[in-house]
Amino acid sequence: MSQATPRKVWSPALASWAARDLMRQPAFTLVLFVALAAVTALAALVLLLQQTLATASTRLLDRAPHVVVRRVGAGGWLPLDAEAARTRAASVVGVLRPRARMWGVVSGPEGAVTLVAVDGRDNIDLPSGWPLPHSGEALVGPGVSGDETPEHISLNGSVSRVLTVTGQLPRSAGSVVHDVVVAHAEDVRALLGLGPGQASDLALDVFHPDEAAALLPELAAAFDWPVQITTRQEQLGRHLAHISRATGMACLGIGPLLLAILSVVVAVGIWGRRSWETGVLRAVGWTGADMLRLHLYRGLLVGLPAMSIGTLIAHLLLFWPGMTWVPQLLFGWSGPPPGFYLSSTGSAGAWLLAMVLVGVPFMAAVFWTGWRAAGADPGDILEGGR
Amino acid sequence: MEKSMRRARLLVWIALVMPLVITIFLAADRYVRAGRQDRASLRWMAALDLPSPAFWPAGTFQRHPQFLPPAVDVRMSPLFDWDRDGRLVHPSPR
Repeated sequence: MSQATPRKVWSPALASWAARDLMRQPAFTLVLFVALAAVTALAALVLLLQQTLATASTRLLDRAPHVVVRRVGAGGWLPLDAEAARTRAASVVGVLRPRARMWGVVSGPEGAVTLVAVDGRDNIDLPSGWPLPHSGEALVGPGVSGDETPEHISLNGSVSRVLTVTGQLPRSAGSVVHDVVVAHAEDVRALLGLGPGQASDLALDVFHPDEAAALLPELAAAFDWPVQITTRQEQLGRHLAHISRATGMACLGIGPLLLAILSVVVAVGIWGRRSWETGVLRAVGWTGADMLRLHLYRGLLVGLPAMSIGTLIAHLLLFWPGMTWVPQLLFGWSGPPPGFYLSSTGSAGAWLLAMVLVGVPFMAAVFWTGWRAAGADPGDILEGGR
Repeated sequence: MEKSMRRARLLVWIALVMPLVITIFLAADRYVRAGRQDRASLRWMAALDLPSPAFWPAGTFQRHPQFLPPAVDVRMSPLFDWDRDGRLVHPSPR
């Protein structure tokens, strides 16, 4: 009486046989590999895109003021008296560091630029010891005037001014300073048409961001003029809504591409089916379990590397330092787009989900094919293939 | 035959090791760069007290939603029903 030896899950000999089988059909294997890698990369991109941009927005807006107060009239946004606004805001209990900001949009050499004044606020220090621009000088973002840093820059707002460029803001901060011009308050005031002592808006902080909403009624009552008060959370909500819309449209575009690649996978599967071989192997003594394992090994040998390559491609596409295709495609830049340096925080879940979304249906299809081969009668297969 | 089996074994080895190498690379890259990659942007955002990140070009309402005057009726939105003559089909937001 013979005792059946337990069958090992992993058999190196059978795996080598499966690899040889794949090598006998290099075109089939390559097309399947490329299609699987592409499907995984696209699925990971769809999952990562919105989440990564939302994370980037949240991280950046965490550095923005807790509350921004703007003076408004029937026609919209109005300049406010900087000193009066600061004094009134400071009178509200819980308000920290009220500071008048001078900023706006003016026309630059290659389109609109965001103009920011730096010495209108208290104790400002630029990163890495950058010098503050004096009157007639400016620091320009990397996208303001093309690839080369110009000696002068011409800006057109309420008046036209030519400023001497004293430095280019770093490309690594492109996702915030790409089209920003930093200039002296005197120049900014003239370009934006602000009167003496006027500012664009008032920024302030509170002890804790959650307190901001509770302070709004008191803050609004502290000013003699109508104001529009925006909390950081509201600002973030608007940004996330715009990002969701942009990425949602992109993902809708990716859908047909995914379908096309899936069709390729199915077509390749039909093309690569060789049922007569199954019949021959069964006829020479291969068991149903061997056939099933052969199919699973073949699937794993193609699927595992293809899906990991697909995930790697998606990761590099999104988190490569200075990546520009997202702003170019999603955010409507007509000139040179900013280079994004995105944080990959929280991306592991999306990688795993993409691999599961692609891997489970693929391995299920492989298992089904193997199951059918395992249960088929060799005589019937050989008769049918004749 | 022997050569072909050697190549097959190499293929199996590559197919098993490559996902491991890629997973380790991704995990290491994430560990090293996740919190550092956007450090310059964070510093400049705080230093300049900027109103919003430069995801969209300057002058667009996505970049500066605060530019939209509050007097503009929010019902003027493509998400609400307007007929071809510009009349609102449903006069109140649904």
